[in-house]
Amino acid sequence: MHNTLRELRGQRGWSQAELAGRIDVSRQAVNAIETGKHDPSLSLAFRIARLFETTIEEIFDGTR
Amino acid sequence: MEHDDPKQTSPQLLPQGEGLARSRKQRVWKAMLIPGAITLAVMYAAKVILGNTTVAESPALAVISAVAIAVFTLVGSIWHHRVIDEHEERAILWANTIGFYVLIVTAFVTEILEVARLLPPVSQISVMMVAFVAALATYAWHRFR
Repeated sequence: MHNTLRELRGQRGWSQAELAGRIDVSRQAVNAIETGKHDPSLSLAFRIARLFETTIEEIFDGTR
Repeated sequence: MEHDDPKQTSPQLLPQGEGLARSRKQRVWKAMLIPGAITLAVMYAAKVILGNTTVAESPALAVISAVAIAVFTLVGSIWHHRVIDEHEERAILWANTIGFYVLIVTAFVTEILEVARLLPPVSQISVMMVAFVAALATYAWHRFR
């Protein structure tokens, strides 16, 4: 699923490991989500959206 | 003069970000290594107590080793599944699915060829190892691609 996670992470100057720690997943999971190889569960999508103080729809584009 | 608490102000001491990722990784490794180490320790202790024997010579050592492997593999599996994330969980589910298919196919194919005397007897461990390698390759592909 296409998403803006890499851009959001870049805006804050965080590494993948930094973001991974903040949402309690592995660095590989962050990489897989950013490259669209893993679609996060609803609970993880909510954790990501809350961390970036936005909505799930703003981060994840479910149409692509 | 006001002194800030270093535990609250030093980014190196904050349990955030990369520090949390590191401790998460340690939790996953501990869930695998501690049960494994205990299993080996129990088996080694039993071997020494029973007079440096082997499982082929001592039924008692064989039973203790079998129970230790069964119990600590179960404990380790549950512990591991409680600390992994959903990405790894999905990789394991796919690995187990592919491993199971390979096990079924390999077991039936070798059994039929054995009955027809086209193959020498194939050990269960060999069949299981083929399935294990398929599962491991699937896991690695999902996790690290």
